[in-house]
Amino acid sequence: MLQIKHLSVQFPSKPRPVLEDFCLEVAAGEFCVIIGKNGSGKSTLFAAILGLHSSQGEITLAAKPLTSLAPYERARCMGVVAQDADSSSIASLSLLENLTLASMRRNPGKLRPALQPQRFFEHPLLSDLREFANEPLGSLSGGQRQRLALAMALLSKPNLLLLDEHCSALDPRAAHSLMAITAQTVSSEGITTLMITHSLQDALGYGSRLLVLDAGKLVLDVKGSEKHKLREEDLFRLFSRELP
Amino acid sequence: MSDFLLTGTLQSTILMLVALGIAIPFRILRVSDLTVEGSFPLGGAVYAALALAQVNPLLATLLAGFAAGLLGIGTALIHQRLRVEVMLGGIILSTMVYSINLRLMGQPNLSLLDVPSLFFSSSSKLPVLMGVVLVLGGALWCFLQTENGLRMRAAGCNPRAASNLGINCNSYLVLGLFIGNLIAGIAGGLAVQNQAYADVGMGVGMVIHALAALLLGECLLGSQSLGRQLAAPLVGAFCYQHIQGFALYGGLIPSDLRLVTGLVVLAVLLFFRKVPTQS
Repeated sequence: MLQIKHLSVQFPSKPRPVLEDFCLEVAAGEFCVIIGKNGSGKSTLFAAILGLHSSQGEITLAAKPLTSLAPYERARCMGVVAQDADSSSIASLSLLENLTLASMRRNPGKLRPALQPQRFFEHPLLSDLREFANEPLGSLSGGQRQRLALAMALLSKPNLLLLDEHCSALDPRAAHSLMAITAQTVSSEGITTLMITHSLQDALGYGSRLLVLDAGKLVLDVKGSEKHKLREEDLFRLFSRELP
Repeated sequence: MSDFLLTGTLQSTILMLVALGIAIPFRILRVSDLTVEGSFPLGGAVYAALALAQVNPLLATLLAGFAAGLLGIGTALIHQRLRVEVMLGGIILSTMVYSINLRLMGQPNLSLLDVPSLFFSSSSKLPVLMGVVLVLGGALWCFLQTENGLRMRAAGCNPRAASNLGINCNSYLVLGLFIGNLIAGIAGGLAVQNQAYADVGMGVGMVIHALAALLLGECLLGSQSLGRQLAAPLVGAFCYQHIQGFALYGGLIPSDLRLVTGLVVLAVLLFFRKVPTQS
C-alpha cells in the first residue's frame, strides 16, 4: 500500500539530514505505531509523505507516486489528524460544514449546494455530536474536537491515515477513550494507518507493527508476536541508547 | 432634504458594491487586498471607453467588471508566483492601472451625458442600483453555500487545515480576488453611469471608504454568520454614506470632508476593537 524508498530530508539549518535513506513498506490495512525521541524524524516523515518539505527519494501510495503531487493533491487520498485540532478542522465553520468538506475531499469542487442531507451522524464517532451540527467548533470540548477530526479523516475512506500524536493534548481519560476508538475504527474499517505517539503504553497496546526511529533512521521494526513480547523497559532502554 | 437623501442613497449603493467586493478578500479569504483602489476606476474607464464606442450598456458594465476581475487575478498571481504580499501586489497593480485607465479614456475625464446607460430615466437609478446590489449580493450568498463556496471559506479561515482537506488554497485565492474585484469593477461602471462622467482619479481613497463601511456594518450587525458577513457591507455602506451626507448637510465645509471621514473611520475602528473585549 505505502512504499517509501531511500527518502532523505535535509534542512539547510541542520548539518545532518533529518531523515536519511529511509525505506519503509506498509501493507494494506496495517496499523503501524511510530515512536522515537524528539528530533528523531517522526513528524518530518509525515511532512515528507504530505509533501510539506522538499525531499529526495520515492513515495508511492496505492501504486501511485506521490512525489510530483502538491500537498493538497496528496491529502485527497489521505486522512490527517494532528495533536492540534486546528490543523485538521476549521473552527469558524460549523460541524456540519466541516463534515461536508471532509466528505467531498476526493471530489472536484462543484457548484451544487454543499450541505446536502447526509448520514454523517450514523458514524459511531459522531453519534453524540448531532446536537452540535450547526454550531461552530468552538462549542466542542477538546476530546470531541479530536473525535470529529478523526471522523473527518475517515469519512472519505482514505488510502492512508496519518495520526500525529492525536491524543497528546487531551486529559488521560479522554486520550484513552479516543485511542481505543481509533484502534477499533481503523481495524474494523481496515485502514492503513501510521500513528506517532510518545506514549510507550499506547505503542505497545495498540497497532499491529511498531517502528522506532532514531536520528532519522529506523532502528526497530517489529510486528505480530515479536511486538507482543516487547515490554516498556525494552523500549525505554532503546530510547536511552546513544546511537553513533 | 429628499433630494439630499436620494443622492446619498444612490451613492451608498455604489459603495455597497465596493464594500461587498472587499469583504471577499478581507473577510472570506482573510487577506488585505487593496486592488479595489485600481479595479474600481478600471471598471469606470472600461465602461466609459465601451459606452463611447456605442457598446450596449449592460454588456459594457459586465465587461468593466470582468476587466477589474482580471486585475484581481493579477494580484493573486503576483502573490503566488513572485511571493509578493497580497497588499503590496494590489498597490503595485493599482498604481500601474492608472496609466492603463488614461490610455483607455484618452484624457483624464470623459463626459457621458448623451450616452445611453442602464438608467432609462433619472427616477430609475435607485431601483436599478438596488437591483444590482441585491442580485450580486444574492448570487454571492448562493455561491458561498455551494461546495466551491464552502471550500473558498475554508481556504480563507484556515489554509493549513484546508490543504489537509485536499483544498487547493491558491486557486481559491485567485477565484476570490477575481470575484471581489469584479464586483468593484461593476461598481466603477455604475458610478460612471450615475455621474455621467468618468474621471481617472475616481478610485482614490475608495478602499478606505469601503473598509470603513464594512467595519461600521460589522459593528452594527456583527459577523458571526455568513448572512451577517454579507449584510454588514451593505448596511455599513448605507450608514457611512449618510453620515457623510448629514455632515455636509449640517454645514461641514466640503474641503474638510476627508478629515471628518478619517475621524469616522478611526472612531469605528476604536469601537470595533472594543467589541471583542466587551463580549
